[in-house]
Amino acid sequence: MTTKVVTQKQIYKYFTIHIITTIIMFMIGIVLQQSGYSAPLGVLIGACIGIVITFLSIAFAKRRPDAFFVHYGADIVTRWLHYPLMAFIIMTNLLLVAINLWEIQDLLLQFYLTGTPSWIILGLCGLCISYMARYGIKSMFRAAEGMFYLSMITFIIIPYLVHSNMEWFLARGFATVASVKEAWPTAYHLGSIFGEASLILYIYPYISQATYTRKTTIRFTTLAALMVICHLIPILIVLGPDLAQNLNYPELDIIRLIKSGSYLETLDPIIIALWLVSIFIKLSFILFVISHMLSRILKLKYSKPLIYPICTFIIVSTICLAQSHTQFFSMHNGGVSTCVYISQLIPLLYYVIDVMRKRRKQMEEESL
Amino acid sequence: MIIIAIAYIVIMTYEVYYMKRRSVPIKPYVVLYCFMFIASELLYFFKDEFQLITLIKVLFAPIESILLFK
Amino acid sequence: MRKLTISLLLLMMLTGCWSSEELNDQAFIGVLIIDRNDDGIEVTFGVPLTTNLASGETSGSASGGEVFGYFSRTAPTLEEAMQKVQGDLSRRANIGQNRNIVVGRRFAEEGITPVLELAARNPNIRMNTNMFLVDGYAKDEVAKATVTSERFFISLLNKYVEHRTALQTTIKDFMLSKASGGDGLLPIINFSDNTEGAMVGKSSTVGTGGAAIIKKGKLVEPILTPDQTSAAQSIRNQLGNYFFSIESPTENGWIGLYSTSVDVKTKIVKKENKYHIVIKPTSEVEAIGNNSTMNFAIYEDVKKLEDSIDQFSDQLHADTMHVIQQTGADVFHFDRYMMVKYPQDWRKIKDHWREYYRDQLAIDIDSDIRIRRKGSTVRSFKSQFIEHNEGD
Repeated sequence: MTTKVVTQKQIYKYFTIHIITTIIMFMIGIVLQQSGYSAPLGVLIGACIGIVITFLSIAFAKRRPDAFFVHYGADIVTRWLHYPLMAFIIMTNLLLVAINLWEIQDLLLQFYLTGTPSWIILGLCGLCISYMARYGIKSMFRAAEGMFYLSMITFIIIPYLVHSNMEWFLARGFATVASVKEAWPTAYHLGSIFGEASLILYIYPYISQATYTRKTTIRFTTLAALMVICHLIPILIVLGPDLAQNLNYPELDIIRLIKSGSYLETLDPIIIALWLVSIFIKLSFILFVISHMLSRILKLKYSKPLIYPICTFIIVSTICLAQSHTQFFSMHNGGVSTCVYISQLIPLLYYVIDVMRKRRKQMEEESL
Repeated sequence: MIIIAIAYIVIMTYEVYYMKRRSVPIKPYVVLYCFMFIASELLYFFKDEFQLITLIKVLFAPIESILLFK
Repeated sequence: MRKLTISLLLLMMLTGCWSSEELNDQAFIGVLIIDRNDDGIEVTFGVPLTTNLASGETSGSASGGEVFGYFSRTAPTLEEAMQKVQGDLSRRANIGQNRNIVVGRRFAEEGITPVLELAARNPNIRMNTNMFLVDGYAKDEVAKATVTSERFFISLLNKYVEHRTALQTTIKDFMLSKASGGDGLLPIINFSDNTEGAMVGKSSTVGTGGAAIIKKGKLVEPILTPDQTSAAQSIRNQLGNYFFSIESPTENGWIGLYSTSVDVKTKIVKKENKYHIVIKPTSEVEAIGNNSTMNFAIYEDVKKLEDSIDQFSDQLHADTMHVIQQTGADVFHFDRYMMVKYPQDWRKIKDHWREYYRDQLAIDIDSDIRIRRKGSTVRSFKSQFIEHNEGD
């Protein structure tokens, strides 16, 4: 069924939430450790990388706007190449969901739900995610439309609330101390996150007004990059680069420094609750794409029955992902971003082969 | 392990029941479910000896260290 | 039948939390007091005793017993002492509501680094916990002091910081920069006995005193006087109300002045290959007492007075900075200014920043203070009513 049910505005709101929630809660500690003052520059470069990857995917999708990629991919390259590549993409996306779930369970267990066994948290999160994915493509984007304004208000209000702690002279460091060489690791890691918008390729037939997708891409990437920078700059100015590098979750420490009234000083549970809903929306979308692709590859008509088992498999993978905190964080420098980049750039291979084949066909027709 | 088995059995019963009601061919789905069940149980059984992260690190760490100029 | 199974399954959602935390099972720590004695580190938890509070609500602390309890234990390390104290408490200690840490002098002399490390690493202890120093043995002084103007000792400490009566130093202030990490100023809490200091009725109370200089986590001499502490507060842009007096420029006598806020701007400039930190306090003061025959209506006299106030402020700040700079402790973290403005030169100096700070960094103070109001009377009492009658 290729009814066009997803509008451009929904895509804009969904992908903004998709990108922001991942970066702000998980990646800021690592970004500051690797780049310090050059972090905003790294975010900008990463956003450019993400835009380039997404444009490539969209340009490829535009060639056949009404068919699903998993179907016509077998015609472009041979079946023997197509199915292993699709399997690789599915495994990478499964891994992405597992990694995000692991980080959620780590954050909640460490600060808020000490004593709870991890499989209960994972089971509940998995239940929420699979419910939303089961409802179909419309549910995620409608949920994103609803959460968008609330999330934006929460993310914008935090820098405003800590403004009394800021030492403005430190802002000069962004111009004098920042360098591209320091910013490159950040740009590399964040580029893979901004590039997750290339999942648009797999749901392209569902998008209405598809000719405007490029403009929407630029808009949501810009907004996401702006929001992330609006968070990085206050963290660096309030805590200073040396202290911010040493903290695992600088975001939570910033929230605890809010002085205006004793109620707002313990604001972090509210922020966590709102952010958790946003990240469930993101994970359910990826789960939907996985089950959709799997059902099309195996030529099954319905993708709904696959969602619960895939989710259970993901939960088991999350439990078996890493034994300790240290082992998990060694992965961040150990290749996850490269894995994700490869899965995002696989459509580029198809694009090149498709263009070459079409040209060869044109030349053959002309010579005839 | 038992909890994983219970979860899979509940899910399979639920899905098969509804698929039969709507007369959808259940064989490919059941094969897939069994495959995923066995994979989950294997992963869980060997979770102390083999972590998924080692797989990623072995495959991709060399590439990443080149790209990051370390 | 199906509805029955579904409703029974839904009952499983009524289970509530997996690991619930009852309020009555927890002891919320109000103040953490750490000191060192001959057997090791002594940790004291200051805990409000909620059972006495609840029953003694209307009649105060006279019936029912004390409202604040101090539980302490000694052990070789901080964490072992905390475990021992927990062994004395009947409830589980919850440090999440703690806002104040008080250290004793001996502990500060041997290094406050264990406390900073504990506060930074433990996710439950907040980074903006205020720190105070007691010039003596902390637990004894705090436990025997009578707090009369507030209900609890901790409310007193919180209000000192909130109303800017005492200098505010948080845990975060020690960690702002690597080159000057562990340097800071700790405000001192005075406990006066019956001979001087605050008194309410017959009991002696708590008050603020000077400040102690901490270098690399250890206390160094000298201890700043209260005036010097006020100057340090103003450099940190924390000075609120301040009373002071100046010699009158025209006649002998003094003029009393009062400033509500001092706005301080700090920056670094490079003059002839030497770095100068320029501190500019600006303020608008009111005259609240004129014990000379100076006439506020004469503009030149007022200008002279303003110049002598500027001089007074420059002198006070320069003396304080001199005292602090001699110890080599960069308590205001001036290295951050250099790092952002001159990063190439900073890279050469940063390994021996403290020596550079002590020997070669010049600190210039440039005050600009105006007299905003001169009070309700036109001429001073002395000149209107006393000196007026001659030959008496």
